[in-house]
Formats: sequence, C-alpha cells, structure tokens
Amino acid sequence: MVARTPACQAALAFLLATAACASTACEAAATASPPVSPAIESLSPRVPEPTAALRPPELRGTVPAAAHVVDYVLDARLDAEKHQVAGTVRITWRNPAGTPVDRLPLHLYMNAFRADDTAWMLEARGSHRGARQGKDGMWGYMDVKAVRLIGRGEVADFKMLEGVRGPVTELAWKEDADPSLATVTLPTPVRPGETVVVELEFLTQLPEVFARTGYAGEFHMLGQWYPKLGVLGPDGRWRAHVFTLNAEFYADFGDYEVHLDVPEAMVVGATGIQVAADPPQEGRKKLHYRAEMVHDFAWAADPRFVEIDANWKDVRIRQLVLPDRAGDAPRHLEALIATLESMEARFGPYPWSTITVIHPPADAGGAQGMEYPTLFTTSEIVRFPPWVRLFGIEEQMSGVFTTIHEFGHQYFQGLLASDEAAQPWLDEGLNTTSNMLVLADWHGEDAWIARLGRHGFGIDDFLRGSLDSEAALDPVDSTAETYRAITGSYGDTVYRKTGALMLTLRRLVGPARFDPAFKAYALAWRFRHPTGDDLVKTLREQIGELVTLEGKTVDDKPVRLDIADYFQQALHTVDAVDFHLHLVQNRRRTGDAGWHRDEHGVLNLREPSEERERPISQLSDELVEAVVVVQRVGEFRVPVELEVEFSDDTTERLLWDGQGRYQIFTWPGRRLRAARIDPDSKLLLEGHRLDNHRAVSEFAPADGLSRPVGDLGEALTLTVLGGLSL
Amino acid sequence: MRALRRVWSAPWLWLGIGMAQLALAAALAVPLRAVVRAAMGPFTVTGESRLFGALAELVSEHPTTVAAMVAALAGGAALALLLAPVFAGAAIRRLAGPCAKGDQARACVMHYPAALVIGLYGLLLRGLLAFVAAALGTIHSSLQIAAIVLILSFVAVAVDLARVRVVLEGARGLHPKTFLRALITVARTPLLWLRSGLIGALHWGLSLAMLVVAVRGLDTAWSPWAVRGIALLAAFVALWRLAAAVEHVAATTKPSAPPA
Repeated sequence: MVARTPACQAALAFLLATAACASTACEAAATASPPVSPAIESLSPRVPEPTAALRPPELRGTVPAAAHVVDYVLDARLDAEKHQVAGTVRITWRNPAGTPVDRLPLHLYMNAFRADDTAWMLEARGSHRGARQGKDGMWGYMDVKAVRLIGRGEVADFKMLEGVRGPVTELAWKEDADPSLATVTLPTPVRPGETVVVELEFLTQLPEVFARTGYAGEFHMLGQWYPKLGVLGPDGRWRAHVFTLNAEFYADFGDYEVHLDVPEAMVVGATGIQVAADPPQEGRKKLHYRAEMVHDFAWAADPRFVEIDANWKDVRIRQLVLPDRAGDAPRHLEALIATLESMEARFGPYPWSTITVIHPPADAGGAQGMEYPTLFTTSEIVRFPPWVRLFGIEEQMSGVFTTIHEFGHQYFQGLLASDEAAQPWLDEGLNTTSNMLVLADWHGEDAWIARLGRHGFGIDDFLRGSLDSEAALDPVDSTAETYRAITGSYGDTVYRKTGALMLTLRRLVGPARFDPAFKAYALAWRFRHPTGDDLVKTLREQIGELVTLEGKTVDDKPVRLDIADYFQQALHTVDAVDFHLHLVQNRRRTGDAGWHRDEHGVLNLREPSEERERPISQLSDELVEAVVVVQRVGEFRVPVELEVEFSDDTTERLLWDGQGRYQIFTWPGRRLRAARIDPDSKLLLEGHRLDNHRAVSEFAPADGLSRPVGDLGEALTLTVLGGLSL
Repeated sequence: MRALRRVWSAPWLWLGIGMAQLALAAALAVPLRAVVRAAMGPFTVTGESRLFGALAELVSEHPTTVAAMVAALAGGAALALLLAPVFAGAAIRRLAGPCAKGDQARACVMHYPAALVIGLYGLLLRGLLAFVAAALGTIHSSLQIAAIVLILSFVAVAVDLARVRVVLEGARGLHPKTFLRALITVARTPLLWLRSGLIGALHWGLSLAMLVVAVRGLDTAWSPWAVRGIALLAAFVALWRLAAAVEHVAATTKPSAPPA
C-alpha cells in the first residue's frame, strides 16, 4: 500500500493510530487495576501483629473449656520447587467421650488426589467447581512415614509434655480402603478424660491446585496438608468420613503451634497470629504461628504477595494479594467489614484477633473461595470492559460475595463446627442464609446481587433460582456423599435451597421472632458440634412450636405454622412449595327467584329480575360475586396469603393454611379486578411464581413480559439490520 | 460535507429505508410477543424488581421463547443480507443525483444480483480476515482489537465503492475483479478509508447505542421509541457512508483538465 500524498500519509497514520489507541484504551480499561486509591495508601502501613490469638475476654464471647479437645504442634518445611511439605505433627488428644477407645482415625485428605480410583476422584473425574486437574502436577498425596506414641496421662495443660511424656512407642497404622483415611492402633485404650500424645512424620505432595489446595507456579495454598484426627462423638463412636467430592471437613477444637520453614522470598499468610520470625539463613526463613481454639490450620505463600492491612475494632485484617489486583482490596475490605458488623450483631462475637484474606492469583482459580479458621481465600472481582459497562451491568457476586460467604464460614463451621460430611447444609446453607442477611443489612431489603440497567437480580431471585429440577432430587438433609456429581443437585440444594427455607421461615414468623432464635442457636452452639436436630430444637424452643400468623383468615380461625412440621417437610422431603391461581372471576350472585312459602305457608312465585339476562360486566357490583380459587400444586403444605384487588380500588388480604388441596374464596357483592398469591414474597421456597398473579378477563392487564421481551427483540433486530445493512 | 449533502438532499430515501427497517423489526417482534403472551396465559407479572426473575422462570419453563427470539434475530440477519442489496442500487442511484423513481426502481432490480454478490464477497473477506485478527489476538489482544477495527472499516468501504462503481460506472458486478479493484482503491486512498471509516464507526456506535438504550430502558414506555429514533439516525449515517463512496467516484471520474 502506498500513500501518495502527505495528506494521504497523514490520514493513514491517523487511522492506524486511532485504531491502536482505541484498542489499547479498551484493553487497559478492561484489565488494568484501578489506580491505587488513597484508601490503599492509608492501609498499607503495617498493622502490628496481635499478641494474642484470641480477642480479649470481654470481646471474644464464651469459649467453653470443654470444647478444647486436641492440640497440634507442627513443624514443616516447604520445598517450593518440588511443591512438597515435609514435617512432623504432634497431636495431643483428650478423650472427651464416656467410653475408652483403642484406635485413632486420621484424615489424610491430600490422598484424595493420589490416584484416579480414590473415592474423591471417582466422583470428581478430574474437576472441581469448574477447575480441571493439572497436567503437570496431576497428583497429590500424603505419605505418613512414622507414627509414634510419645505420651499419655491425665494432663491439664495440653502443651506441656512433661506431665505425659513416656517411652516412645512405634504405633501400627494402616490406610483404610480409601487412602484419605488411616487408622492408628493404640497398644492400650485411652480412657475417658485421658490424654494421649501421638507424633507423626509425613510428606505431603501438593498437586497443581484445582480443588482448594495445591500450587500454581510460585503460589502455594496449603489446606488439609497434615494428618488430622477424626472426631469422637459423645456416644463413643468416631466420626471420620471418607473424603468424597462434596464432603468437606470435620475436626475438634484446640490450639495450634506451627513452625514453617519456607524460602526467604515467600510472603506467608496463615491461620492465627505470627509469634516469631527467625532471621533468614541460607535463603530460607522460619516462621512460628499460633492459633487458639480452632479446628484447622491453613496457610498460603507466594513471593509476589503484597500485604494490605486494616483494623476492624481490635481485629487485625490482613489481605495478601498480587500487585495487579491490589486495587480490589478496598472493595473486599468494605464487604468484609459489612459482614463482620452484621454477623457480630446477629450471631455473637468473632472471637479471634485476626483475619487473613488470601487473593489467589488468576491461574490458581481452584484455590479461590474456601474457608479456614481465621483465614479464607476470596476471588477476583470481575472487571467488565467499558463497552459492557455501558449496558449498566453491575454485579456483586464475584469477589464481594465470595468474601461475604467465606467470612461467614468463620461462624458457620468455624465456630459452629458441624459435621460437613454428615450435614453439609448445616454450614453451607446457614451460611448462605447469613449472607443474605448481611446483604440486606448492608444494602437494604431490596439488595441486588446483579443489575442490568434499572433491573436487579436480588436476593429473592438468587435463592429462588436454585429451585429447579436439580433441587428436587435430594432432600436438604442428605449426607455429602448422597449428592452425586452427575445430578448437579449439591450446590442448589445445600446452599441456596437451605437459604430459601430458612428465610421463608423468617418471613412467615417475622424477623422479630426468627432473628433472636437464630442468634440463640449461634450462641448456644459456638465452639461445639451442632447437628440439624440441635438447630431445629433450638428454633422450636425459641420461636415456639406453633406460631399464629398475623392476618385475616377465611373462616376467622387463626392460621398456625407448625415449626416441626415445616422443618420435617423442608429438610427431609423434596416436596415443593407451589401455589396456583386456579380461578379468578366474577360471577352472578344468586338471587331468590322461584317459589317460596310465605309466613302463612303459601307458595309464592318470585319472578327473576331483568338483571338476570344481562352480562356480568354490565351488572351492578352488588349483584356480582367475586371468586378466587387457590390451588396448592406442590406437596409442601405451608400457609399462604392471598391479596385481592376490587374494582373500587380497595384491596383485601386473606390467609390460608395451605393444608388442603385448594381453597375457595368468595366476596358476595364485590367485583374482583385481580388476585395475587403471596404478595409480600414470603415464600422463597416457591420457585414457580408466574402463575401467582392473575386478573379477571374483563380487566386483563398486560402480561408484563411480552412487551419488554418484544421491545428487546425489536432492538436486537434493528441492531443486526443496521450492522449488516448497506 | 459533500457526501453529507447528498444524503441530506434525499430525505425520502433515508426515511424510506429507515421506515422499512423499523417495519421489518416490528414485524419480526410480533411472533416473539405472541409466544410470550401465550406462555404467560392469563397470568401477569408486575413490579420492576420481578422482571429478571420472571424472565428466567419463563425461559426455563418455556424454552420456545428463546427459540422465538433466536428465530427473530436470525430472520432479521437473513433478511438484512438479502434486502440490503436491494436498496443499495436505488440508494446509490439517488445519491448520485436527483432521478426519477423509475430509475431508482430499475437500479434496484438491475443491480441487485451484483450488489448481493459484492456483499457476499465482503462477508467472506471479513470472515477470512477475522482468522487473521484471531491469530493476532494470541500475540496481544490490543492487536486483535486494532485489526478488527481496521478490517471492518476497510471491507465496508470497499463494498460501498464496488457497488457504486457497478451502478454509476457500469463495472462488472459479479466479477470479483470489481471488488478487488475497490479493495486496492481503498488501500491507496487512506483519506477515503479514514472518512468512511469514521462514518462507519459512528454507525456502529449508533447500533451499540440502540442496544444500550433498549437494555437500560427495558420495560419503559420511552425506550422503544428512542431505539427507533436511533435506528432512523443509523440509517441516515449508513447512507452517508455510502454517499462518501459515491462522492469519491464522482470526484475521480471528472474529466481531465485540458492541456495547457
């Protein structure tokens, strides 16, 4: 191509430059971190490390001594080249049950990634939440080299070995049928209340991260990286589940002293507080961490991390993030603080002195969105290109919601340490419930999760969206291994359907009854292992067994909600809530034409009035009767409200107990315009709501959807025509 | 400005094409509205906060609505491909200067096959060059965006020029040589490329604006009218781009100056 004249040359240059600038600007706007705001600069000064792992007694809330069951002392060395951790763990465990035990089950969670035929991999088939198993670091494992008994006895102080140290005895141990579990056999049983100290040597090989734990380049996320003891129930039976795809983790509370030997350049974030850091030597450094009254210890390391600190009251908040995403830190902090404010008020004090937020890099997506005591991993905030933002697209799911959700787990599972394998809904579902309450506390009851222009996708839509066919496959109260990957039912049922059932209850009985009851459960079961029965029992005690709902009823009899029956249906069946407006019409009111006996007993004929032949729409209102028939289509029986609108612009609401298959409502002498089921959207468990609002045909309004859909279709067609025409 | 004046002096051309597009889009939206209305039955949805939830439920329970929308879009695209060349002949004839309606009608019919084929050449070339742009994207996404901008404007101007030459100079429309000549001319005339490219960019901007207004104003009374207004403006701008090619041909076919 030859530009012959200076003008042509200039034009060509301008054209090329314009195109290049436009593209560079678009990309820069889409991908670059927002400029570091003054807020970050003010956060970047280091907040001093807390001196205690727990907050002061007046701020931490109740920490029952009986909850302290097992301590871990870990010494570990990270080989960042081989992505291995070699270490020892000393487990000091007190028998909290009333029966002696002669074996100790150990979780070797990392072995789930050891081969294709582990229970976890058989179900996962090489992927987890959209992340695929790596090609280079395909496998992970935990190899226990030795198990020794080094002490036992009656001890008050778990960390003092002197009172319990005895002869070192090599212990027999064996992997179970699935390698994620192993059993250590004790030479003599551990009596109730007795303490035993066991030491293990282990080598953990990290996989390339795709399921929470592993590495991606220089980034290392160490979760479930050491052998962990199972939980002995009050009945004397061990709870130690095979690690399957949907099962998470379950352990007892105790203290951790962890010594990490890592490459000098690594920036480390861990559970608890750092109590010491030795000066680097020969390219490595040693860090000492302490955590108290936690049931797990996780850590992350990446030499590229920058640290952004903040405080919330006396709690130190530490974010570790790669420089190109540091601009997101203020938004995550904002979300975290909103969550802390809401959850402390609703569920009691956050007891620990620190929170660490890890922002895994983009190529470690498998590590995003996971909770550990006092530490969680969040996810990136999606950045939309400028041309997408023109459409008014906003969302709070990416990044922000992850932070809300993962912090929420500090309570539901971190403090209320339910068995995630036996009842995954008890932490995930209650946490989702709390997340919705946080959003409402933060942004109001009509908080949106995503928005397009004027229209939002709110909490109600988010929860109802889960009530599709997958959510009808398994009852909420199912074990983790019941949910099969191929059905896709786990997420919708355990998270959102549980949130829907809890918030439906809240809206039916009212926040004034529900919120204190939920709080009572959270306070009663912190630092304990609640079950679903414990939750239901607490709510029944606090809310009441039978709650009389406010509202006028058809027959003036009160409508009561049976809480036990509600939970029985919601947790243990797949019955759905679904009401339908079967009939909405005005009909001719019956008159008194015909033969009647007068006071003398004589039959007299009353002629029908002339009105009888006129169309209903032309009759006066007193000659008309409004009729609505509400049908319960779903098998879930729950009270429901009906709102009717009359032609004189008045409205009326009536409550129906929802027990029968249908209910007929009539209003003699009134002309109906429209009827609506559940006008206040209390029944979040009802996914099918298109049939909840209906008008009488003579007043038929627009359906409300065909116009906007048609308008959008017309605009799309015009865009295509315009784009392709001429 | 001369190109703009050509369009300005042919208001009925602009309005005619614009109204035709509006009528077509409205016609294609009729079955879509009907499908949704039928799916809703006697029920109704009210409340701004409910719209997306209701739409999601509708689509999940009535997948035919999605099929109807896709059919409307596909229909629009197919009709645009087929109909736009019909108007191209008449438009070029009129933009070249006032003429009888009969001449325009004859231009429509006579030059439709050529206009269609040239349009297809342009489509093919865009597709081919899209692979190049995609390959550049593996190097750097900025390169890809720049390539797309240049390719689209380049090909669009070449299509315009080729069609104009067919109508005004009697070039052989079906032969690829006409299109190739147009490509070479555009490459050698950066001013034409720049001018028409900027007008084309304005046209794409208006197309995007239609969608933005439609989405942001969803379920309002004003937004469909705003979209239709923008569509009319976009038709004007599309004619302006075509007029730029007409102007170029008119300017370059002036008789040469007499010898000194």
